[in-house]
Amino acid sequence: MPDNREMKIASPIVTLLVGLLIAVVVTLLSVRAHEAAL
Amino acid sequence: MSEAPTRTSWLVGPILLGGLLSVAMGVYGVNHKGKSIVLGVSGFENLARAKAWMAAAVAVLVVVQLVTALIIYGKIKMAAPAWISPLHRWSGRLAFFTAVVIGVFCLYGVGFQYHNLRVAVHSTTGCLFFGVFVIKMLVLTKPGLKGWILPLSGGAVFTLLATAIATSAGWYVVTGGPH
Repeated sequence: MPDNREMKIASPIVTLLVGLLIAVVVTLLSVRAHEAAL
Repeated sequence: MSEAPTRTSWLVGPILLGGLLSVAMGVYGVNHKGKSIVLGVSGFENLARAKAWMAAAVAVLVVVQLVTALIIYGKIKMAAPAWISPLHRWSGRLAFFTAVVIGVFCLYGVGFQYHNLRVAVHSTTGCLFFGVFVIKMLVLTKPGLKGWILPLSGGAVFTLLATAIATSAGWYVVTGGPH
């Protein structure tokens, strides 16, 4: 189990990575929706 | 053993990274003209309504962010309960994740608009918000920075997001949208 300092470093990085993942997934699905509408 | 204080010059890296992100988003948005076709959000008749409701949820979370930050920093005179810091972190995460979805809808579905002051402010603050949020997250990973850095970056995140919401969902609610 990571100690408190490791969690303090990892937690903001994980937040950013999850945000990036959401951005990629939503973008890809939006591109598909756009192409399907054409 | 206590950690040595971190030099403020350490901030250059995060600021460059956040700045690069904001500029990249702006450049993409200016060069991409969306057709308002994005991932469908069921229950909403159009993209603007979906974004407005999602932004309303973000606005509530942003208020929670502000209040919990004021409590954490002792600006609201009350004994800070143990759950205040986790509430601040989780409301911030949820606001950010929802803002990411809205940001994709805006940038991909619409693009960076600047044909009037309101949309120019919205587009600019929207792009800046994500860059400044990245800076704040990276700042959090570095203990020992001067005490004013975190409140300043948190205040900047709050101001940018609140402005982006006011110039979009806020405007939509007040005026009923484009006529």
